[in-house]
Amino acid sequence: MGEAVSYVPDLLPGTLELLILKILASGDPIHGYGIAQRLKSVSEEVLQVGESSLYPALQRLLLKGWVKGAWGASENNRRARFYTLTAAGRKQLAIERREFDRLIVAIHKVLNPA
Amino acid sequence: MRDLLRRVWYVIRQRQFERDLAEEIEFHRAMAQRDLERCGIGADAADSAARRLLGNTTLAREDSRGVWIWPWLESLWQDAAYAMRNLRRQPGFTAVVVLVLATVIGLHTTLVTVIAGVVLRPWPGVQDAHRVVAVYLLGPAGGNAGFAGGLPLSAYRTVAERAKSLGGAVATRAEEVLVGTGDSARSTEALLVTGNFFDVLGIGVAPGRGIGPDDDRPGGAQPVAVLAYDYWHSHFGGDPGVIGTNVRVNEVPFTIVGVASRDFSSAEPAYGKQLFLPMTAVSQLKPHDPPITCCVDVAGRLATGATREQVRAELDLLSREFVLPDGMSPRGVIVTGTAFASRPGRSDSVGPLAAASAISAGLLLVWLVACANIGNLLIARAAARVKEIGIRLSLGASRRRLIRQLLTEGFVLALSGSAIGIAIAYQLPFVLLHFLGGATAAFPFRVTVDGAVLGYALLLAGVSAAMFGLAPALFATRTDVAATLSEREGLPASKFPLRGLLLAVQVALSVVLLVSAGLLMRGAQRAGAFDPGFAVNDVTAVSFELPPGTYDDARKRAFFADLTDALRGLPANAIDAFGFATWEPIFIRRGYQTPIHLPDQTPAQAKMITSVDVSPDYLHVLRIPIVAGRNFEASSDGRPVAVINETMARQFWPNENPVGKTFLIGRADSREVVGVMRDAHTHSMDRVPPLFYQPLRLGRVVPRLVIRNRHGVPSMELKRIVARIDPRVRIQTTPLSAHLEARVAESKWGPMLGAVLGGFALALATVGMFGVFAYAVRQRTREIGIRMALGAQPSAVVRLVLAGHSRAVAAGLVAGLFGAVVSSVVLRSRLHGLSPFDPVAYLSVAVLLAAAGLAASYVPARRAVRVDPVVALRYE
Repeated sequence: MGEAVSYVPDLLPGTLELLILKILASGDPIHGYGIAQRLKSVSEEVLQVGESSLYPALQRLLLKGWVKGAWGASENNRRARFYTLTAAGRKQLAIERREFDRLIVAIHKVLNPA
Repeated sequence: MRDLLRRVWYVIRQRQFERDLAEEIEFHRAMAQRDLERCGIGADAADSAARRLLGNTTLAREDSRGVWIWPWLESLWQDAAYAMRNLRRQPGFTAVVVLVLATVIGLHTTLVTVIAGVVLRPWPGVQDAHRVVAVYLLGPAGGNAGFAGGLPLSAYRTVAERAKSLGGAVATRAEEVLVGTGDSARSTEALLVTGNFFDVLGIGVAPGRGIGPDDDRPGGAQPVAVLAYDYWHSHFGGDPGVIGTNVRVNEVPFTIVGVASRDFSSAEPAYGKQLFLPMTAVSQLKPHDPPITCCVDVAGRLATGATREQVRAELDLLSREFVLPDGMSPRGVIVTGTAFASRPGRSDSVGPLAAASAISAGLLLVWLVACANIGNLLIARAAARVKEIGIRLSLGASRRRLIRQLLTEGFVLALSGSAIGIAIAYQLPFVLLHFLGGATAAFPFRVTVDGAVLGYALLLAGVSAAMFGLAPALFATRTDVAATLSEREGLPASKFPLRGLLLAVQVALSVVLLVSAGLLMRGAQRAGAFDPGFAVNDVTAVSFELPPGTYDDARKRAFFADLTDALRGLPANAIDAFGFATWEPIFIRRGYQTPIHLPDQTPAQAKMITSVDVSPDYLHVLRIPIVAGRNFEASSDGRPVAVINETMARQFWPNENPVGKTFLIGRADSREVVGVMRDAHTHSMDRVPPLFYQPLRLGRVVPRLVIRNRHGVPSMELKRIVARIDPRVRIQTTPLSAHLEARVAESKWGPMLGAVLGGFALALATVGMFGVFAYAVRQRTREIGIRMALGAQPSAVVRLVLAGHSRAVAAGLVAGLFGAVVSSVVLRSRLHGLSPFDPVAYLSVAVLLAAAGLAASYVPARRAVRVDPVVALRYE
């Protein structure tokens, strides 16, 4: 899309959800924009998520019951939805992490055959 | 499952969800813009940059929404389409199932419509109807007779002035009046209301106004009237100009001031009433009657924050000061809602509510039979599809998905049934109410199929689908893939004990329904042929309508004395006998309910007994014989004597001669028993209630004339006689046999409905048995072939194949007979004295079911013995 913006390179399906879960795992409630910012800064500007993928992902997580949303005031006193991880979400994070690690190892093996 | 609930929640709160999402994305954009501005970009540029940065907002929203609904809908649609394709392939099966479901769901939805819309709904057309309560007094009588009735007018005034838990209390009283003048005057039902009635209940009045406090001042009653909506349309053409004009009520001109709302006309107090008049107007309507003292119906609106329980407690205290007409005090009050069914005594065992629940229970049983039947059919289908399911499982379909698909199939079936059922429900309430309404002419209803009813029909469809679809779906998908693929068609019967269970359930429920129907039919037969115990066929009752406002007690007395003389003066063979009574026999409990007790008892131990005031000749007219003591003497008018029936004699003086004994009415009014008459069914079709007659005091009330004559009643002659005494008096003659026929006709509806339901259940169960037997034979064709080849006898083969399921049928039969005993005890009050264990009903049902079982197993059994071993072994 935009020339100034490099989007998240084609992530494996489900990876964005995993990343969101991980960011929320710190425990503090964070709003959608905050999640995008955090992703960007932690990944050193590599992962820049647009809303058209961030919000569907958040909705999927809400639907699965892995995150909870609650309305509150943002740092500049606007109404914003803050997300937190649920117990189920924490469990899911652990599972997906394992899966992801396995996948990475597998990909690595394919790319670097012994 | 949670997933599903969250999706459903989303659908329900969709708007909220979307608003949230939009706000959230807008917030995101604003934050991005702010950050860009901080980096030193101008506001406009930052705005567009932020928008660009964030991509297309609408797309983001569409995508986010899609998470919730789209994939789900899509797969649902896939399942439904697949199910429909599947069902179309078997049109016969589909048609049968849909029809069965449509009938049952339609009937049951209808009934629920009627009950919910009519019986359980508080008064329509009343503001905030749930805060309106009705107040009844508990009579002084002890025991569980639980007499409850209206309040004396003085008690109402106390309540209206002093009850703090009521924001306002109103009183009403039904009154029959004549509207119009001269020959065009028509007898009309009016409702007398207190001046605050329209205001406290918040009843809409348009055009015009309601009756106000100024119209209802004691002594200065304003002659104003409010019309009922339907009356306004039928008699005044719905013309708004009618406001301000006069209408003559009992020859007194009343000014029409308003028209009550249409909704309110189906509220119980207003039902069937055509006029609303101020309570105090009664002194103008009936100048010769004593003023109203008892009793009025009282309703009130709960004060802010008050509860029904508080009202009851407060009125209970107040009611200690109330004095009933017989000088006693009530035991307390009952405070209820305003729904038809909440009135005390409405939910008794013979009321319309009980009838509706009995029919409803019957329908539910048929529904269960239908579900069990369809469940079995689906299992058979699932078994036939085991191979297909096995293949799909082995290709990686998840079990959950397959179960969902099979359930969808059930749901599609149930939904089609429901749709047709709703169409039935749309028309049927009126037909049904016609039947039910026979028992209660005053059935205030205005029934429509609304959202709640649609919802109920859908719920029934859903529950049906789950009931008959879930088990087969679970069973069919439980299979081990390898085993399935290697196996021939079907599964061994032992894997489906469920089929036997479902069969037993069908049989048991059919037995319950059939026995109930049989008992009801036998009861009705008995009612039709019953011996009332008194002369019915030659007797006619005559009621009188005296011109209003002109007859005081003395004039009434004179009228009836003249009438008696004129009748006596007729030629000897003109009429056989005549007498007077406050009520002629109409075969239901009607008449005064009088609290009576024995001299050695306290008034609190009193029982409510039916009494009728009669002239001395009355027993002779009805040919009710005296079995002990004597009849009233000719001059016993108003004397404290009574003739009691045998039932009352047994209840009050067991093993004693009651003649010469006394009993007390109210506190001190005593009656001496002068005679005992034989029990007669004057007041009921089944058990004879205790009953006493006392001498009629001419003058006070207007009695009915009861005439016995072999050659019919000379009504022309009668009209001439009456016209000679006073041409303004109108008479109406009703033969007693008409009352009896009406009761008998009424008592036939229940059995007929029962028989239809029972027949329906039996047909379903027979088809069910046939299906199970046929399937058992087909499944074991190979085994039968081997056995036959090895020399097994055909009879042994039949036994082998049918034994397992016959046991299920037998178990169902036994369980059903037990269930039938329970249901017949419940139905006892409708059996007209027939024993609930009537052997004819039970035996004929057993025979009927055995015949059905034989019929259902005949074809499969023949198929089994005709299995050709060679063919069967080649079956592979």
